[in-house]
Amino acid sequence: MQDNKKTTPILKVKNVSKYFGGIHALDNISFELSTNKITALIGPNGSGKTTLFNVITGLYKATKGSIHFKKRDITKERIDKIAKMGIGRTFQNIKLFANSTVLENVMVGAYQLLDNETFIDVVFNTAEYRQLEKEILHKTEEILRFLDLYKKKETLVKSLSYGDRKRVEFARAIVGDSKLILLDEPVAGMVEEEKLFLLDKIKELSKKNVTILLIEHQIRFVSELASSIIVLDEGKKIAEGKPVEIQENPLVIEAYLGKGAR
Amino acid sequence: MDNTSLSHFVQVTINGLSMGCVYALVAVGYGMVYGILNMINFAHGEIYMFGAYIAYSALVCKMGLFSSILLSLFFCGVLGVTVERLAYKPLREASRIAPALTAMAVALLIRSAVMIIWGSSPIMFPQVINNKPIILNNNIRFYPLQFSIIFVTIVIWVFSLWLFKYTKIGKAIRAVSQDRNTAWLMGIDADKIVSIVYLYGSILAAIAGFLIANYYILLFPLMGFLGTIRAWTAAVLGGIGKLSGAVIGGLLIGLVESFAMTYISTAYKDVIIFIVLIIILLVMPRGLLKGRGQKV
Repeated sequence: MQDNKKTTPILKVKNVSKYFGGIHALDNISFELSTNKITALIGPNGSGKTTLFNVITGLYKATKGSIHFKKRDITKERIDKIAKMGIGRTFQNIKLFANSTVLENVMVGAYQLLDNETFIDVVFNTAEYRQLEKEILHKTEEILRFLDLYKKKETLVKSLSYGDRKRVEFARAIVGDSKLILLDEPVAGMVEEEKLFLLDKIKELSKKNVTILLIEHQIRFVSELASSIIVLDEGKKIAEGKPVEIQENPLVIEAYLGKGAR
Repeated sequence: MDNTSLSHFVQVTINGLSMGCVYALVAVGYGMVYGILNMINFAHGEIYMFGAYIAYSALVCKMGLFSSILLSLFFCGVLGVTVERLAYKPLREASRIAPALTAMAVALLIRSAVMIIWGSSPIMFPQVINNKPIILNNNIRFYPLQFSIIFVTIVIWVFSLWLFKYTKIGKAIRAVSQDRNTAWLMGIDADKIVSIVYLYGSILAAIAGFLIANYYILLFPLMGFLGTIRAWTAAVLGGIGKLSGAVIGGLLIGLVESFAMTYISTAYKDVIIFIVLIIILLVMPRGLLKGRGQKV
């Protein structure tokens, strides 16, 4: 954490705990994400990675601790407000609107950009509002081209392949110009070709002033992508550092392979 | 078919269609609420009844036709949103049965309140709309009110379709009804959208209440319950969660009711409606327009 002092952190998680009854899903987690970096969140199953995403995005409220995004306290903020402030996310088990088209799904993410429209604009479809909508449509189509989904824009999501759905979800997360993107296993279950394609896109995105935090299982895969790694185990942060350091960290190896694995 | 029985047939169809339109209006709101929260809103018909009573009082107090309608829409909208915020919202995460039971309680509450304010015996609705029938050849009577009912329903149907398909609110409603939490995480204020749906549903119910009160010229507290049953049947028949399904279901029920009353028996009309419902659900378990793949 100390070496990142030069850049200002976009996200600051401080002593966050989340208890479900007696279960400590997250236990006193602290870390900072520095702007425009890719950070990976790894850990065995049930270590609290997705819970952490849910706490950051407001779906769960932290039992203890605080979360600051762009220097604003978002610990108790409403879910939709947090999204509008610029945190986008995807889900481990894809959550798309299956009965809507690809275009509509992605546009949902883009509508965050429209914030100053009035009720009258929306209901009466004023010229000004139509202009805004046109811009959104344009932006959405641009993202769809970026992710090679343009040809499928009128397809219903429920008839897409798994890899396509993953990309649609990714598109929805990034279309709203979010400054922080949380990706929950973005390439899990994809075929090799699709994986490489998406990896490229993630790298490209991080060059465009976007901070990325992603959950992934395989350390090897994460190492080439992320500039730093945070490791969770049983709700606790057990390590944080550069990929090389993490790969050699005895605590991490133990968490993954069990005691005495070395 | 000879000439008199043909004109009789046309007459029954017109009557059925106009009744069906009222049911469709109630069913659309009911179906929207079901679609967005998966909740069986037993209080929906009560709002329709309440709207009719408010319009009655406004008209009795010599308010104009237009302002009475507006007043009734306003009160029903406020009632719908208040009920949602106070009674249903705290139960969002509860099992499906809890809000349904709460809705029953709300229905009883509204019905009792209406009985306290207006009394439990039926009252006559003041006849304000000129409803002199236009007699076509073949002795078919076409009431201007029936024409207004059908016209209003078509306008609302088209408007709702447009609203759902092309506006931001419509897209947000569709997103929230497919997955509330995800929509929320994408920056849609899900609570606000749910309230808007209740508001819209309540306003449609109020319009339907006003039309039915003018049509039957009679108000009674139990009409709300009957409205709920009709709306439920129509929405399920058409395919629950589908806008056009609710409209088609409503029209079908209106027609079946009208024909059953004329050609079979007035006493058995409800039985016949439910027999039709059972047969259709046996053949098409998700309703005519294939609504959600869920149990109803």
